[in-house]
Amino acid sequence: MDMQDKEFDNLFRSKLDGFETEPSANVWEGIDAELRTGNRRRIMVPLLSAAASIIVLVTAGVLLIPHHIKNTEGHSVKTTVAKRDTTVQSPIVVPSNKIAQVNTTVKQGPVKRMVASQSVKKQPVTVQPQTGNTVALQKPAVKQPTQEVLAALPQKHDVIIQPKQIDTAVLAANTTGTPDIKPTQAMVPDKQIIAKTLPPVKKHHIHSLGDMLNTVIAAVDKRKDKLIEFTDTDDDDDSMITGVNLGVVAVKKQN
Amino acid sequence: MMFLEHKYTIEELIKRCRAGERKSQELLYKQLASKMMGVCMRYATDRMEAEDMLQNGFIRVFQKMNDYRGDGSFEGWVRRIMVHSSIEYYRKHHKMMQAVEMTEADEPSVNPLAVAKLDAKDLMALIQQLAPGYRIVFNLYAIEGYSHKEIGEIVGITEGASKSQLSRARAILRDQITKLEGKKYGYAG
Repeated sequence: MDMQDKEFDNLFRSKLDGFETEPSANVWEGIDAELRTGNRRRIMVPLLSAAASIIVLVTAGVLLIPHHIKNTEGHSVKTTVAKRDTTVQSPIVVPSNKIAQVNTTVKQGPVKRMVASQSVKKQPVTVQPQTGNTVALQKPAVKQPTQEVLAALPQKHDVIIQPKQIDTAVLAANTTGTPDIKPTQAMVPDKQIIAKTLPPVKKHHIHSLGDMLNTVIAAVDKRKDKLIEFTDTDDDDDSMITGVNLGVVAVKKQN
Repeated sequence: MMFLEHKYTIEELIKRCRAGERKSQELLYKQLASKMMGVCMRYATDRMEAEDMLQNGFIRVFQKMNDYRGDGSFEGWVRRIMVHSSIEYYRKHHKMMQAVEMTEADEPSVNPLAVAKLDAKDLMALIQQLAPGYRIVFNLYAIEGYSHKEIGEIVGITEGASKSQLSRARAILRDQITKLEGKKYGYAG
């Protein structure tokens, strides 16, 4: 007597379909643990995403804002110099029958270029032609030489210069008709004045990996001695660690 | 209406589980664990594997509780999840559908009385000895009642492969039963 497939299957079904057996207790523990982890994960994922977004935004802000400030400082230098130049508003009465404007050409540094680029041509200069001296009006202004030059002028000449504004104009008197003051001599005190007024704007170019890391670390670590410092060198491959500041322990190589 | 823990109906328990009440989830688990363990045992090689399948299946049940719309019995819905969880277990563990080559021997004739005398544990042991591919197809067709088309979709094989594997599974089981019968009555099958 043989049995058909259907009958064979039914025998298995009838015996196994209602089969029950108790699982061990650790199955529920595993389910419980997994459900708790899953819930925590569901809560943590949005929080971590938000935290990561904030970190990215803050980092981007820290890295971008210093560049903006540098640009602003650059503008402020220009503005300050321009104001100083344009303060020459009072009429300068120079006894001269010949006035020469000496355009100084300065080839050093961005600040000097900015000073040289400022035009002072629109400043009102009143000339009374009753005297016979040749006066050279030199711009940009230098305080000390101006005073010296003016002191050298003969008292009979009517030179009216307001004390607070004389630093913006250089008057050179030359009785022989040729200005004595060389542009390079005039620029030295000018540079000093600006140096006293504003901090030097140093354009720092990134030449090496060390420079780049220094820039990034400086953006984050505002301490004098940074977490880690590299050599500030133009050589591409010679960046070396020159300082480490771990708070408790700080080592810095003196250059 | 099924009452659980002299307090909750199954509907109330489902509602509380959906709200994430851990105590209700535990009550529901305890109510169905033994039955579902029986299901997983048929798809597993041993008890440990069955417990892994059961654990994964119940985690999925609680995670997908909102998917149960009340169409059909809740127990049937959980059972289907257990079956899919068991098949998924084999997919993950690369044990899927490695059909064991067997010689095309003539199917041995089996006395229905011999099968009837075997208890559930003996039959369970016979099924667990099958290769995973045969075991899954035999379970799905003979016990769960799926068609070959449905089995093909669930398991990811062709309808023909499902039929073939079912046929081979039956042949192996018959052979094993005959051997058991022979041992019991003192003659070789």
